[in-house]
Amino acid sequence: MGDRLHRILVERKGSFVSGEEIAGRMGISRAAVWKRVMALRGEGYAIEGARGTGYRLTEMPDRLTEADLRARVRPGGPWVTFAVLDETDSTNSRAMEMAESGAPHGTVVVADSQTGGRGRLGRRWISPPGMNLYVSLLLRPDVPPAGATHLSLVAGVALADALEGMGVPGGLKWPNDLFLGDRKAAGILAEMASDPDRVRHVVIGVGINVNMEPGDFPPEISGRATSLRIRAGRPFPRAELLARFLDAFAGLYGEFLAGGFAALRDGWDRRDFLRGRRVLLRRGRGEGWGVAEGVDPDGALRFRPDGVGSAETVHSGEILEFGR
Amino acid sequence: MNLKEIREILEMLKGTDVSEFELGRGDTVLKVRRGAVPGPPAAYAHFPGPAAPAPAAPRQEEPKAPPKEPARPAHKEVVSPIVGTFYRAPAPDASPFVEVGTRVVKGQVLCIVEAMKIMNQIESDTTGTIAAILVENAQPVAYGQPLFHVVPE
Repeated sequence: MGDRLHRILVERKGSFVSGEEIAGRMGISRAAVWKRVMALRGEGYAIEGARGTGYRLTEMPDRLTEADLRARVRPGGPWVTFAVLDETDSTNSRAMEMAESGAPHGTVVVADSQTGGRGRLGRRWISPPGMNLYVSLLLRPDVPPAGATHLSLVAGVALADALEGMGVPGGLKWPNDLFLGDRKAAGILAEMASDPDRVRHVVIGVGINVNMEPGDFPPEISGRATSLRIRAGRPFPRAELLARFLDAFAGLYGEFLAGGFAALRDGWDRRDFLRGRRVLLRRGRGEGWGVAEGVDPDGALRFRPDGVGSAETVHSGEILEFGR
Repeated sequence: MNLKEIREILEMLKGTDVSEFELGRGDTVLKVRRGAVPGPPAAYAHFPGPAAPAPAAPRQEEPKAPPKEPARPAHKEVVSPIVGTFYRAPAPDASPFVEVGTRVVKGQVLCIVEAMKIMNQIESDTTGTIAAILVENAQPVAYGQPLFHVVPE
């Protein structure tokens, strides 16, 4: 609906197009043009109408649609299916369900808002509508489970690449939180179902605080969280950011399958947010301070506990606090 | 260890009086128990289920006759496919996926092993009953480390 009109107004964005011209190009009456303009306005397009001059598009809504995403991602990539939802409980839950019912490798689930956005271990991910990105990628890599855990790091590097491409360089806090300054702007939660020797599917969920303003954060996280908009002082188009992330991920995924995590290690290392910092690490039920000494070729964190001469290798753990 | 080797080992044990045999090679452990199960192994010490007399002992028509084939192991082990942290529940305040005595079906999620923030759902490859939970919640586990004993139906 309104696809032709949309294209005409977008190609002449900012200048007036006469109702007569539009009517002629679309082969419809001027009254029908007016009706379609009204419909586009209803979708959030700011379109000025001036008698005798025509219509002028001044602002496009920051909406996520399947057609738009399809048109934006690099052709020939892995992304075959886009499920774009207004609201869902959690894109990860949707994608896991879709995986169980046979959805293909390369399925992308995006929602404008989440009612039950999840972080690690059942924590909440704040997911208001209209301003952020909540997306889950369904992958079916032909690797053993131990080879798939790195996908969590691959996603972090892809996220950092996408943001850098839009002028917002970030840091990666092991294993895959994205930081702008000293505040978290994006998080990744991956879930996997595997047989003992091979992965059945992996779902990589990403939440990015894109256009949130300071007042949009609940008080309990407002001191620790930020958004691209807060950091850069301007809003970001979500569809473009998502397309950049999908393209970046597709490229890195190919490199990872061919060369392992080692192929991405430079991209990781130069954003290592914790390297050289004092950190409080929780492993299992114990926690202790030490120094983060980067990641090893396998993607594991090197952590030298206080009072110990050599670094340990950490595959699973959480950095609770970090120093400067 | 391949099937041929296992067959050879089983063949070799025939006609001996070896009743239990365990062989580890690399990450693989082969455990063979032959004949009637002598008593509940330690792993069943916590088994609360009333309906579990001598679980999965081979049903020989004549118990005294030496079995022709080695006995099926009484339980199957579910091992961790990755290095990570073992979680019995999807969230700290949620109830565990399974308890000792829970009947599980093939494909049912038993626990999560997390590494690098990938939550790996470990599923049962057997329909049966959880006989033992071998790791405490939130503890680190190694690659190949046994997590559960499941007595197949």
